[in-house]
Amino acid sequence: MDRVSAKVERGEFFTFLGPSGCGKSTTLRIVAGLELPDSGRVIIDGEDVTYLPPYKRDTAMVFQNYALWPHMTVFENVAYGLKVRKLPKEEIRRRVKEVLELVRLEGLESRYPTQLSGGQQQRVALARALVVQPKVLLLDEPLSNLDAKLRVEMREELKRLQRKLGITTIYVTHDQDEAMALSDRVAVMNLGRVVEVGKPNELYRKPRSFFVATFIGRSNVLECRATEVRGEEVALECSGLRLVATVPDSSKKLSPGDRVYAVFRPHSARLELPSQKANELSGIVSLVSYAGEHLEVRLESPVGKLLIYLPPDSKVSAGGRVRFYLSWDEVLAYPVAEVYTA
Amino acid sequence: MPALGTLRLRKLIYSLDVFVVFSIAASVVFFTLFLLLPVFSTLVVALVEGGRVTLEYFVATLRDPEYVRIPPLLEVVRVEPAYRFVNGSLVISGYVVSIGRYGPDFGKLLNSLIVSTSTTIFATALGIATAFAMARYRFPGKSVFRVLLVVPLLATPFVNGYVIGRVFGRDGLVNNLIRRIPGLEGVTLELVGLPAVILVQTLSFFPIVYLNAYASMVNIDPSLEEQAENLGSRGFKLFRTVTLPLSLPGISAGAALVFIFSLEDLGAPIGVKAAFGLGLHNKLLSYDVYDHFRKAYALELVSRSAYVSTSIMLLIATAVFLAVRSYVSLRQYAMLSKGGRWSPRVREVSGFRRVLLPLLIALVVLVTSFPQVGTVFMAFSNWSIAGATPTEFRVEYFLSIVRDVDMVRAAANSTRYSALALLLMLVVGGGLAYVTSRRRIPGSSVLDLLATLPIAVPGIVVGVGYLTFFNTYFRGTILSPVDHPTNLLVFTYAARRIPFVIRPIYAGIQQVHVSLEEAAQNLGAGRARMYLTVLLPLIAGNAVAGALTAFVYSMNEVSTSLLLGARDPERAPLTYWISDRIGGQTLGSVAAAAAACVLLMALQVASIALSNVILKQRVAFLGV
Repeated sequence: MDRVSAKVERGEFFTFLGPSGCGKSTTLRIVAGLELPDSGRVIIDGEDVTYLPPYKRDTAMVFQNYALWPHMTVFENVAYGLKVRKLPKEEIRRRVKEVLELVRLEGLESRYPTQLSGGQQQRVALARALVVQPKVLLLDEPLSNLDAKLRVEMREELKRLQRKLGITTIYVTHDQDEAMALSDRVAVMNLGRVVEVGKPNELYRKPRSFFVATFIGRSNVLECRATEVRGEEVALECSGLRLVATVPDSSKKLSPGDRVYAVFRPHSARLELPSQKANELSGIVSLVSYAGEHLEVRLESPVGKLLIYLPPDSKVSAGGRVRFYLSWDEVLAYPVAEVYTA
Repeated sequence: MPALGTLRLRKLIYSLDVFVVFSIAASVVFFTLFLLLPVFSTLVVALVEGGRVTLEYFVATLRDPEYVRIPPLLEVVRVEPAYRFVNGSLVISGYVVSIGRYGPDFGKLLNSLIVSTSTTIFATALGIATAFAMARYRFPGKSVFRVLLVVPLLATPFVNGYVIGRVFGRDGLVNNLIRRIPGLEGVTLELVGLPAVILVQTLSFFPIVYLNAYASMVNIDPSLEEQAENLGSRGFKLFRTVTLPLSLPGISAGAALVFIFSLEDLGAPIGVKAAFGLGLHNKLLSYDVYDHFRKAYALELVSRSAYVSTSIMLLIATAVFLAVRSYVSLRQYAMLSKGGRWSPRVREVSGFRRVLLPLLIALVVLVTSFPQVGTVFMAFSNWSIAGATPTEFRVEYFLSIVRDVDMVRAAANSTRYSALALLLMLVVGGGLAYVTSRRRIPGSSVLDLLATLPIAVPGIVVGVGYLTFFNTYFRGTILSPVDHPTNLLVFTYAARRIPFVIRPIYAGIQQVHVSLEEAAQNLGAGRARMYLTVLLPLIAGNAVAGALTAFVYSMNEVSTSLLLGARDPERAPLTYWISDRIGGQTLGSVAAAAAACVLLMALQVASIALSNVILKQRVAFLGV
């Protein structure tokens, strides 16, 4: 890990997103107190807790494998944190009942974890963390062990719960869809560093870094050279094709002659001219796939193989020529030099 | 930014707590004081004279023909005519075939090596063959055999040697059968000396290789064998080129243990001596050391050659242990799995093999469990005084020992020492198991080594070490081998049997995912609370199983019990009492010894059964 720094607001749902091994779980564990950083600090609510042991911090974590205690019932698992805090029996009973209702597990108090389904176990783990009303809720890829349909259901429940309770939440995942759907803000990580932090739609539409542009969602990457730079806009020449693109990170200064990656998303393709400030591209269709809400169209073009999404009723077929348009602000330019030193 | 040194220190302190620190300290003190220093002291006596290191005693011993000799003739088998007076003249009435009485005798040192090597070879061959049959074939009676094949592991110290001696003696069972064969009426066979010891030890130690080999074979990823079969390899070739090499780590570990146990074994030499009297079966290093210390009036008068013998045993055992350890740890590949559990390759047998295989295994069971069965017969019949076979079955012989004041006292002594040792083992061993499985502190590999070391150190070396070390530094205290030799047994038992406690607890902790501990801490539980409410309940089964095993193996410990017990017979443990009685000439003393062995066997069986029940009740973990 390398100089990871982030500020999470109260009540915010903040996610660390990145491929396996990027250091996101480590970051979470440092916040929880299960590991010590080599340098830096963890400050919760103004208090420096960096060297405080985990049992003295007001954080509660939901582990990836749930970490439910097999020798305790659901009730005992959930009540554990409250017992440690020495709350009176009646209070414990009341709060456990409340939280189990919240996660929709009423009636399962006397079951053992091994008698529950994966989804139920996950909710017990969640209940166990929520019931102690922590200052910060930490979730370490809690949905990754669930099957696809359950994952989406639980995702929605989590969001609903977090909104309702307003607990500051730090979430860790490698699943982009999850990160985008759940979070107020996302920190994209790679190789131990935070590459970019932003709101989900910012990261999707105008990622400031090439890594995020290609990590999140699908994208087309063209190798180009800058011919003219006009503030945020840059004119590019890509294998004979002329394009105008936007530089999303204004701190990255481009000069004519620089090598640039131009990135655009398949969604951005339009069959009709969107405005005067548009690029025109065309290619021969090599494959058309029906993907429910759009057609996935693969093209061979002078600038390379491209993937675009077109409306499902579009008249395209393999072998035919397609012409499409991209607004200037939907083609993003990243200097190649910066990509390899970032 | 803090300097790297203080950063590491800080991280170390962060991960330590009172319990971890105490565990490490306790382990270090325990192993140093109660294992390493005593053992080392034996080397010191053998190698140090007048303040400088010298090999003179070693050399003197190696030059002594009592220890190393080339025999003039290699007379292992001698056939002698037996004479009788008939009508005033001497006639040949038959022949006596003596195996082992007159040879081989290469001196105590080489004899020991010959015996240990032979035992290891035979036990390994038999163990591998049996393991292969049990691991790869399905046949009627297999589940019964699986239980019976472990019978030889039931400890029957000394009596097993005596039984074999009686069975192969001049008036024994074997000869009774031989004389019934037409044409062989005049032939008498006797098996004595080193071959007898080899036989007794092979039968006792065979299960060690069998169990290790079986476990290895069953754990081989079947796709490795299937691949070979797919490429045309079959039958013995498949076994030789795939199965055997892959199970070699387990087999080597077993064979190494057999070698070390055989080297330090006192049970066979003393047991056979009880049947035949003193003979070549006592010209072994182990008996040599025992004899020197038993006869010594004062500890200071023990000759240096005893220490040289002890040191040689130690050095050989250490070498074997280290060699196998590095070999075994490098070869875990047979257990690579590509995810998901598989079922081992077991094939049905058809045709004549369906009868042959169980027959062969039954034969193995019969032969290897014979000493144990014989012990039971000795205890419940008049076999010990009757002759070749028992003629009367009596429970009285068995019951009489319960009324035997000396025996009851010896049993009580054993129980006391074993129980106290167990307490010590649980405290030190439990902590050590936790530290080595959870904490990656510097030096944990050393602790790991310490946890398995006691298995490799010959008990005789430990015993001699205690007699030497504690006599030098703890004179006049409650740990003095002169005044309170049997107090030290608590520590010798603990030091020798602690791996039996550490291993299952370690395995148990490994199965408790560390996130279960972290979750507890995350929710506010301090270390103490976390150990009590999360860890302890989840490893309780393993701890109990380990405790039972350690207790039983303390009760039937031989080497240090004899060496230390001999110096204070009234407070001596049960195994000393058995060794004393087995050599006794009074009527029924052998039966009494056998009866005590039956009690020990019953204890062992009960503990195995209980452990199995407990460990099977383990809760499934994590549901994920």
